[in-house]
Amino acid sequence: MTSTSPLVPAPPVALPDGGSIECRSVSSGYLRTTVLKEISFSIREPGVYVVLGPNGAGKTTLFRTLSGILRPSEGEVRIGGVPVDAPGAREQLHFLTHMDGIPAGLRVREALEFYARVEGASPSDVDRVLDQLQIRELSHKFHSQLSAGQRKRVSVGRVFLRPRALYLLDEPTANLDPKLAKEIRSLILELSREKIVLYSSHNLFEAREIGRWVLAIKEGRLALFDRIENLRGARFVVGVRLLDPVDSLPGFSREGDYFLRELAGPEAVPPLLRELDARGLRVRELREMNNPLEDLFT
Amino acid sequence: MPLLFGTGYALLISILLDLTSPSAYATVISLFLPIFIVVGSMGGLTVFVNDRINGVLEYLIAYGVAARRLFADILLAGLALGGIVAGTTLGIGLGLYVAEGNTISPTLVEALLVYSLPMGFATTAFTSTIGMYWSSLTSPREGMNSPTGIAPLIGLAPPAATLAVLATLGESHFLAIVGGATLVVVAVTSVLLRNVSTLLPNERFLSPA
Repeated sequence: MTSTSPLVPAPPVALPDGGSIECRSVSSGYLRTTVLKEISFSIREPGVYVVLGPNGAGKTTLFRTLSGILRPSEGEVRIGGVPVDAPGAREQLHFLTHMDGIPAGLRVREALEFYARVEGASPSDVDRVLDQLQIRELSHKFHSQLSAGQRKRVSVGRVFLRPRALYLLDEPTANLDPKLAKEIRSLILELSREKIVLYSSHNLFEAREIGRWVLAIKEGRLALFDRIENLRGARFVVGVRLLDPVDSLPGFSREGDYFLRELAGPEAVPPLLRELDARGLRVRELREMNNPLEDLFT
Repeated sequence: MPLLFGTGYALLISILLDLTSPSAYATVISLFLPIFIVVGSMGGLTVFVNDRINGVLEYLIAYGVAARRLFADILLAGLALGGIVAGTTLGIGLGLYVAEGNTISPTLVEALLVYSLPMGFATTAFTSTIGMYWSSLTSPREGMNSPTGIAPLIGLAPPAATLAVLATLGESHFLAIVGGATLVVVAVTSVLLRNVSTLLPNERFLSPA
């Protein structure tokens, strides 16, 4: 790290390429361990780009490299058309790490006020975020008094204190109950109308709900970068594994342990389960087959 | 909390000795002051350890704040806390000492200016830096093996070693021994601070959990 910046924001620097992010053949990692290998992509359009991959694939390392915390051993990261450590580049992005980032000894409101000062946001922005994330009732609680889900909500609140061009969100809905996770995804979707949001997840269903594009990381390499609708494929085939041994199943083809059937879409899964139940068959597992995203995890 | 303990114990010893044995106060305070300065400064290291574990440091580094600056700010905070301990202890202790009708001898002034204060602040800087390195290179742990547990034990080695050397070689080398020891501690601390950026590619520094 060569640049130092004050804890009060510098005036915005006009960058030649606005809110864009580009990875040019980037390899990166920790000490002698290379985690990311020759990653290249360029993102210019607003939207949610889901960075998908199993645990340990390199998603967090990618975000740390994009945010300038880790220096690539090879290649270059460019923000707004300039290197990530150039003046003004880092002020374009917001990196929400998977850690809570709530300073010990501060109440929730004080923690958000601390970040507001760092971000150059106003006390009214803190009030807006308290309402937006429905955490006003937590204002006077300390970090140690919050549940994991409440900590995550406060942590996500930082993102909305001050607008930036790019957002790197590392598993922002981890530890949240489904209802709140959905609400936060809605806020992020709203944000992504005008901003580029890179959103890491290892949840395929979450990726489908929020993602416009998918960047799939497998063993440190960019295995896939495509529009999410292109990955769904023309056919929706599910595989069913049964608890009891069955040699054949009328209406299904067989592939290893799985009985396969093509359905019209995900909405046809519940009727299929009811049909199997009616036939007295107990289901051990049901999964979508031949999906390139599923293949990443196997 | 460390500030409270560092200042509290130093004041307690000072006041008790001032009231019961002023001559002992004049001898003992210069020897013990560095220890209380170090104890009182530990709040800075505690903040660093907490902020690293909960991700505040990673946020600030991503925002563009240099890691070296974060280390330096914590070190300065530790020195400031140590300054509060030294100022309060000497202000009240020496004030009471004089109020009791004693005179501050040149030997006491020399001991404080040449040994207690330089060694106290150098040791504080060394202790904070060692603690920050220990925290950065290990997973979170509690008890004596934690950064706040182990740093004072390592950090108090310089004044202890200096006193041992002084006891062996005699007071005739006082200035050279204390000056040399202080310089060594400052040099080691400076080298460690200069190389803070080498900690960044360490996954343990960024992923404490």
